Amino acid sequence: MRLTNLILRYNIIILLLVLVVISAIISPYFFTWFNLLKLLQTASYVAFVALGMLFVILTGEIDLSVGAVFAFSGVFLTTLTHGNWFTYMPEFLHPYVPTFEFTPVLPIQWIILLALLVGVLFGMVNGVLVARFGVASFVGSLGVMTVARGLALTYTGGAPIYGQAKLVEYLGNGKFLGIPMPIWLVAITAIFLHVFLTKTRTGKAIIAVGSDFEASRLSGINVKRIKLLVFMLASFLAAFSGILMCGRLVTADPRVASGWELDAIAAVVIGGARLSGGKGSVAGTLAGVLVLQLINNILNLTGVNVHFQPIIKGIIVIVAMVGSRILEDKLTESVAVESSDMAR
Amino acid sequence: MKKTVILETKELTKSFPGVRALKAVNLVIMEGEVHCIVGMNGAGKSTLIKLLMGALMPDSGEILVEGESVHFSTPAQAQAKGIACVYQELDLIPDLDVVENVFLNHEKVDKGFLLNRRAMEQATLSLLSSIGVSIPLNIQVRHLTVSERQLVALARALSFKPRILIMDEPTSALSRIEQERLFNIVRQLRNDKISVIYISHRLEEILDIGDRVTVLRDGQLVGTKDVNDVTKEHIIEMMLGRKLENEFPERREVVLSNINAETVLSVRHLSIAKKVHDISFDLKHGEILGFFGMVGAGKTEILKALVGAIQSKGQIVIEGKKVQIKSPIDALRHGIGLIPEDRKGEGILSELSVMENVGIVAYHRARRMFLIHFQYVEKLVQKYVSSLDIKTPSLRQLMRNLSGGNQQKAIVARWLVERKHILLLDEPTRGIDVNSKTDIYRLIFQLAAEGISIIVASSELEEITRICDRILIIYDGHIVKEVNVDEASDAEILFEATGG
Repeated sequence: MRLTNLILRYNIIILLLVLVVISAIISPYFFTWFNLLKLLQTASYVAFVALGMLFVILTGEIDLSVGAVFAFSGVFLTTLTHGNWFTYMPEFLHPYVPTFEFTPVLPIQWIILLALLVGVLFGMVNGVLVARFGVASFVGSLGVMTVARGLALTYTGGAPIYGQAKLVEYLGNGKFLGIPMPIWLVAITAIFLHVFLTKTRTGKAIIAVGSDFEASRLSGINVKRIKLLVFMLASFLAAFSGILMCGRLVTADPRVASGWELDAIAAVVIGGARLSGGKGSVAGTLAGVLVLQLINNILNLTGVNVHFQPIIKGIIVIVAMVGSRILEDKLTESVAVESSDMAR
Repeated sequence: MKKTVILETKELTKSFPGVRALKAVNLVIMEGEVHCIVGMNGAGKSTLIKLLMGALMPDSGEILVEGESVHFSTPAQAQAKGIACVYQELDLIPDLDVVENVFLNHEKVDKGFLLNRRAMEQATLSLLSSIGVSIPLNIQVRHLTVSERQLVALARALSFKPRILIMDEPTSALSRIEQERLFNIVRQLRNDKISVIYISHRLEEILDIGDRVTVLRDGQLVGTKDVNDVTKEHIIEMMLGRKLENEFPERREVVLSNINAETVLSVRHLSIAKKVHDISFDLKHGEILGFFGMVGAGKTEILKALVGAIQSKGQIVIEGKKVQIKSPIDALRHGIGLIPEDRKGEGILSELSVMENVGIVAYHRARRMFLIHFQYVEKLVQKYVSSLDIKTPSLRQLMRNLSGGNQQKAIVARWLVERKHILLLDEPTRGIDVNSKTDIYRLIFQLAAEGISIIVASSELEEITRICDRILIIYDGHIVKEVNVDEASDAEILFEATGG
């Protein structure tokens, strides 16, 4: 009984271990420093998006716009870096040369800040739609997603923009103490968010709102403010990750991160969160991101056809979700039994 | 000792679409008194609490705290003024643990933003021990029993150190001993000059611990009396009011042959996890059986279990045949229809027409080839719409445009179309105006006369005593007593339904 309880409680960790073992068996290169860092770095961009999504899901909402906001903030940043406010001069007018000197409209730090701000604005729109006008978040954020993606494509005329400022490249692809910057940044963000969620009043309010909206309202929580806040947080993290991705690719691609909102949702749910809100954790979400990344990694290592990969990935995600659903029911039962024993 | 007024409402009025929930209520609460508020369901008690707590805003009138006019737009503002509430529906968060719930939204923090868990645990522990209970602190509230939750909610309210504490049916889920403990707490609060607004159905309690009692009826304040000046009968009289009597149609003669009529539905040892415990009863041909109990006693669960909408254990026998009802489809097949309590949520399909709402269960036998034969459905529906006198401009009218009473009739019609012989009605007149109520009661009588067997579950005592032939009193998931309607007084029934 003890053992099954342990398995039930730490099912994500067990899943992760199984995937690691499979990876190690398939490829002797898996346990190399190089491969592990690469794996973590690749995972870190989605991780930001998933962490933001976690907070939205904790309040019982959903944010489909994160992938598009991710793309637009990068495009916006790069456009400004290249000396334009609103549109990017197409490639044939402004050919990219490796020694190209940027004429940023503002100092690069300001541009980064501005790109983050624009990201947060999208979150505000989502939040206002949901909290103020009572639009279903699925629909509201779907609209925002379409607009943001359209803006990204319009800004660049549909083509990627090459060339990034040194600072952006360093943040997105540089190394500190031999470890890529995005990994550091995710680690810091995750620790910060974990403390925020578990050790602050706002964190408790977020869980409360998702767990029981009316009871939270009656408890005096400003429920609308909480919903606004989580959407802004999700967009902020998506925008930040979008900037890092620009640095990594040295390119702003308006088509980047399409479908990432779904990966993020999958990661959050695999990480033990409840879609209706009130339950979920930062650590679980990170584990969920790693599970998805390991599946990708294994598929690549085994040389599965790129076009065939989504089918396998989709099936694995579905199986994992059904499994966790069944496990959760079991777990709830066992906790209930335990607690009534405790009370007696 | 001169008493001072701590809370006062002036001409407080609140309407919801179609209902005046509260009409010009002038309530005066003194410092350090236990002020009881009583009234039947729908009298406006919950609305009054929500206005006092800032969960709703009044249409007109004002609230004065210590003579100062206040305008609460959120519960946080009311809490800041020293008003706390233990809600009947318990404003606890299932996913948070006991400590987190007690201190939700007024957590203790140090260093400006980090929660001080240790301090909150200690405070919770001392609050809980002052109530005289021990509940594990780190357990999620979802795993607690209803009575434990009640006590946690009380601890939460006390954690605000309120000057005015509102308690909405605080004893509904408590055992005898816990109730006695609660009364001691209330007395202690009175000694500490804290005013308690105590809402309860249980008149014995009110006479026991109250100082003054205010009666609400149909959103109006009928009167405020000193508890020493009134008797239980007097309060009941004020609660029921005289003018309500003609709301009920002439009582039908209880057909004596019913006693020998065949049993249509026989339920044995029905249990639903945590809610309903080992219930057995029989329903006879053409009988109107009443389930009476307070909100949360388990009536709704029993009815839902009978149509397979929730899981249950036990034996169900219909017309002598043992049947398995695992889902509403099974119930449909065996001729049981449920008219649910939550009409908007579980009854009507608000965006569909009257015809579709009524005809939907008959679609399977109105098929021509693979398509629905709508002319047939229409004829069928038209017949019942006329015979039940459902007022609608046309069958194409959207259901949401009908009045509550007509919606309810349409749902009854839905099950008649499918030739049900057992109808279960859960709170059949909730949120329905007086005239339509009378219509619904007539309809119930008419159906019973036609040989349909009916169960009516209600927490409105008058409704049950006026329309049912036999009453099962339900308390905390048990049938505590069976009474024939002519044999028991209202007070007795109320007494049994509130735990004896």
